[in-house]
Amino acid sequence: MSENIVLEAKHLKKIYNYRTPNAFEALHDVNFQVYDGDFVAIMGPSGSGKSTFINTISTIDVPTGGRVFINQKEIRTMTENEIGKFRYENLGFIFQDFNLLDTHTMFENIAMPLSLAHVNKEDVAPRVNALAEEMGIQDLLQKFPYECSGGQRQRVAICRALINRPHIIVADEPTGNLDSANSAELMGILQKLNQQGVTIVMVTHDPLITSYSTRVIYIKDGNIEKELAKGNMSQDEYFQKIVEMNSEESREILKK
Amino acid sequence: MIFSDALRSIRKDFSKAFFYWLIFVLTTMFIYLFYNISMSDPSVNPLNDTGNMITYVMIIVIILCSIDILFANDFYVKPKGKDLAVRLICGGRFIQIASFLMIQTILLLVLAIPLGIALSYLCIPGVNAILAMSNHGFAVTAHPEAALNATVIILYVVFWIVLLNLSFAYRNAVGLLMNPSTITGSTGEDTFNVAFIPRKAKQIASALLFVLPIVVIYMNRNLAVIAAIAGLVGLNGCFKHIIVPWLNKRVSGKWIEQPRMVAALGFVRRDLIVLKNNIFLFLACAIILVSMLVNSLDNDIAMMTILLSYLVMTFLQALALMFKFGTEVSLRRRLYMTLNHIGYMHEDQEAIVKKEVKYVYGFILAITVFYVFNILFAYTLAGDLSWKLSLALLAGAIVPLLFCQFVNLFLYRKAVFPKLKDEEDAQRINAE
Repeated sequence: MSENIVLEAKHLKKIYNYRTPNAFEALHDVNFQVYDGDFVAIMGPSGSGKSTFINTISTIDVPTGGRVFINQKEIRTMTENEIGKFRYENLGFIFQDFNLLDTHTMFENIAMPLSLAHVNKEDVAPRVNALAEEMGIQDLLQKFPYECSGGQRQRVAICRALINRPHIIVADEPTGNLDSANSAELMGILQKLNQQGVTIVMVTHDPLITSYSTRVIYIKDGNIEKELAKGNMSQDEYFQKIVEMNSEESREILKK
Repeated sequence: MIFSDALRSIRKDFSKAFFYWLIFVLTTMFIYLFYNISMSDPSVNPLNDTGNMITYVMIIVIILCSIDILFANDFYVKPKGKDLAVRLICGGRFIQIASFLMIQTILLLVLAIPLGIALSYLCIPGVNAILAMSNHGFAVTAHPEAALNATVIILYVVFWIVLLNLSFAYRNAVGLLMNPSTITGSTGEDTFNVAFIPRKAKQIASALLFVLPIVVIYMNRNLAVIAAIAGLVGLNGCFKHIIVPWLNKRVSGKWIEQPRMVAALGFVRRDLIVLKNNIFLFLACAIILVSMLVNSLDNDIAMMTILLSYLVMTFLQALALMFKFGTEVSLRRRLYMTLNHIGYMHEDQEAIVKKEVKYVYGFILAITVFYVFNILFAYTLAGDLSWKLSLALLAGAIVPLLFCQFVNLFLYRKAVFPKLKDEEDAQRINAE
């Protein structure tokens, strides 16, 4: 991990239903940095603002206040076209419910970011096939998502996220719909990618999944409450610390 | 409680409720007018004279009206699946959910039937003016029984359709709540897979079966109906063996460099598979009624009735297509959010919507014009039909499709690009 900041949030604020009686502040004045090659896990109880946070820092949602910088460039100063281009060139998204297009075959789903990046058509099939083979899904390419299992769909979603060789992968509960074997396999893939230099920002509520990261931040009620770095700890020690951090928070709730 | 919930539900889905109501108005108008025409001539009694062509037309018309109401009901009920599922999980009984939907339908019907009858009544002088031009002394008069018959038929059809659709919703509602993103359905594969026949042979046979009936119609006009039905069988083969495989090949091959085309044609492929039965119904309706019409040119009453049926039925079938398409795209919001995540910008998404609607309706228009035009042209060339009437009949098939294309585009954009209040707020605050 280098000291280059690839993603930064300054005084980030998100208010839903602003200026209505139902206004709700999901994020309060959050400051946060992601370094090049980082593997950050974002944890927190349900409704703490994890997904709002990840959506806001990854250009999916618009912050109500504060600023987000990606590669030192403020998102607000970017045009819609620049944001779109930025997404397919630099970001890869992985979601809990895969977010594949059920109307398109697996091949077409994976090839879409290449199409957006105007990759030469002769290069599309070899790149898709090579990545599919690496992920063990080469036999599924002509199938539609609804014809495949959850694990297979998530592999395709990973292929789609990786096909443009992005610098940052944003994953929102990527193992939420997977069994333990598929979850471990997926985390192995993400860990390997991180070792190859890809920056990963992942939301999860599972301490075991978090233990694959190099840093964890704990969000509660729209604020960053705690931060923990893996440092020289083994994965098992790191896991213990994450469990302790989580249980401390849970015990505080019980005391109330 | 159920009544106020039903009212709230209508208000919430107002645009869908409006189109649902519109279908009731149109079907009431047509059935009422049809009864009046048939009751105005003592020589025509559709209830007793079963050999009469008008009886056949009437049966076709009532079946097609029912199918139309079924699609309209589906269009209205499907997006309420989650609502129904929540009621079921909260302990709602079948009778309560049936009442919830039935009250909405009956409220819309109560507003639609009198208006439909009134509008139809106002159309009678216009129909008489057209009849007067043909100088055979027949005039349509309004009959009280026609209003009663039309009302009974509509109520009967609507009651059973609501129950039928509700049973489907009842079974699927909870599943939908558990996993709302699941799309199930045909992939366009063969139902009866005749694998031993080479693919090329299937393609050639389908293409021939689609095109050859046109040649038959030019050679023997009396065979128009049979030839047209054979053409539909050919079209079915073309769908399976030519159109869908061609789209598959293009989306992942030649057009892979064009991101908008990749997205739009994938959607078009799905739409054509989903709309296939409706397209067939629209074509069958247009072709069969045009063929019947050109075979009844010597009988003014029959011709007038069939002409009217043709015009209204093509419009109603186009509406059924519109409803089916509307139901399909109403579930696409998620897919457009995914496109957004991948990097498709708003202008790309707008272009994809336009392309998709244009290609789907372009395809339907092309095959409709191909068949209807050739049937009409064969009769016009032989001097059986005037050019003006031919063009009017052709327009009768094209105009409703163009109208529905416009409405679908509006509904589609509304479904996939809802106004994002938070985004607007954020932009305003940032600007301040």
